[in-house]
Amino acid sequence: MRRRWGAYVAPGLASAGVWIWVPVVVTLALSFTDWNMVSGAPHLVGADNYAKALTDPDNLAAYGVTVLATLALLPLVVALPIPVAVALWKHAGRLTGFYRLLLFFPVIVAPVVAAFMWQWMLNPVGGLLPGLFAAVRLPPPQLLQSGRLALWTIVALTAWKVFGLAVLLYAAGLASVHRDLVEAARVDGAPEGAVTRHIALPALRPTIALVAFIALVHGAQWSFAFTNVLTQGGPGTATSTIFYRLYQLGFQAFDDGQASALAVIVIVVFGGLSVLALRIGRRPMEAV
Amino acid sequence: MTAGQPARAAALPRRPPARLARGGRRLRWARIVSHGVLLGLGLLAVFPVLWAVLTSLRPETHIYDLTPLTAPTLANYASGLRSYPFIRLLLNTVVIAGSVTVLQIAFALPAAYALTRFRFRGRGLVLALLVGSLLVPAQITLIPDYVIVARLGLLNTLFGVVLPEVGTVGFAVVVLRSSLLDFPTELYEAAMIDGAGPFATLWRVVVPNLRPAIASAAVLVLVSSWNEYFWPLLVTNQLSSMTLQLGLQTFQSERGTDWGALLAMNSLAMLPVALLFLLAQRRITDAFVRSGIR
Repeated sequence: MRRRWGAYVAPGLASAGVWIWVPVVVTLALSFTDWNMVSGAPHLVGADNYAKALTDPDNLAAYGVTVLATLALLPLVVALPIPVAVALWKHAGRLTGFYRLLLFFPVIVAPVVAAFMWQWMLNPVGGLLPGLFAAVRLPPPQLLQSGRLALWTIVALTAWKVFGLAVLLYAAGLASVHRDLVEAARVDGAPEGAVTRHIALPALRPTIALVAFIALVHGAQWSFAFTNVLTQGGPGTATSTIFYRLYQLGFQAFDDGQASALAVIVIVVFGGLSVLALRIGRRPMEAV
Repeated sequence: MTAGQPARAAALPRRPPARLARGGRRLRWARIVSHGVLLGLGLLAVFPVLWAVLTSLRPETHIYDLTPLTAPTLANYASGLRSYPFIRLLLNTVVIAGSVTVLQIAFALPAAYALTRFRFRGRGLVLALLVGSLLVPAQITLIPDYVIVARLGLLNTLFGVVLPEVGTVGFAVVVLRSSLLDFPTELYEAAMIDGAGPFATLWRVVVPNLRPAIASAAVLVLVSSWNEYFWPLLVTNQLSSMTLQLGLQTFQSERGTDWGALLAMNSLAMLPVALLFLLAQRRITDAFVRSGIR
């Protein structure tokens, strides 16, 4: 029975190997070379790409944007869904399914489709939001045209897209709490705040770490389509996160050695952070 | 209290006491506020979708209206279908997402089965390589993946889109493995007594009994492949292999902003997954939540 296990795992292992593990090694190697991906062979340039990764102003701007975007996204998709999930768990009753349906819908909408919907909502001509401002004689906010505001807009849209997933993850965490416990606490006259603090929140601790981990690792992927459709990283470099910068360097400027160095930096920093998040949750892969 | 217990209820001294009554009133307020917040956020979640669909149903001359819809028309859909190669894009997307799903399940199921059923040296390593591959951000693998696809001559082909997307097979392995860990050993033993080999057991015992888990995994892979944007963006720029999302973007940038047609095609592009979601809401959300990724 143990002879032929290889045949069972080979196709899956080969796929992950060819498309993920080998590329990780290749990226590491490319980060020490100068290559445009198209012509010639990569030749070694030592640590030049890393030096440039840490000094080039556009790269530095991208780190700043990434930190800001992540710091802004975390409360929106890690903290804010908690009270919503608690409300859903405690009070929604027969409408639970209906609220879940509404809240989760943006998660399954294709990213570009969602980006066009929002482009239409925010469009200076005929868009609903500028239209509403005009209706009350206020100048419409330059949500995508002015620097920092454009970044907050992208962050807000990203939060809109994944909020429902976080709520449902928390709702699943709360499902393990016995209803009787809540009823008993209420009959004993415990205020609702105490029910939340002493029953709901402790049950959510591992889920909070999981959501933080997912938001850290996938946050930039979630925002990519919004960025690419709505701002292309602009105005200037205002919405160009490290991931968007990597895409621009690798596939538009064809500076692939530099892009690879940024990729290595990304995997080290974000890998470290996500290990930390999972450690705090003390529930490594079993939750995933 | 039911009608059968009036005497007992009457015997109890002044229930409920004041404190509980106040708690009850507070509870009612908490309930009202909660429903308000949940409904508000729920509407905020779906409003852009509804607004886009509503706009797509307006006559061309009223596209920029901010009023409720009065005379819905499908004119934008007709003009969109004339100017966008929608059917072609839809077919590409169906073929890509379908192939990715079939291949991932076909690769993941035997792997998850072997990892839970066989004990062998290196089992921990195999599991680590498959699960660990999910922790690698997509951006790290893009350039080498692109080079591999280019060297194989697969740029602008459906294969070039599909194969690298199967690389995340570890995801399906994780989902299927967690169900297989709870698989009743009695079924394995019964299969062994019947003289079934490991493969026959997988095919005739595991697959039929694991259908719900397989369906969950398949739906997850299907939805994430359908919604995959980044990878197709890199490897295709021709109609023959473009997905719906890329097609929408390409044709929007080529034809300027014909918002009516664009939003009509946008709505059509959303329709398959939206229908799937409405039909199997509970299963899909549960699958997403249990996998905890994407």
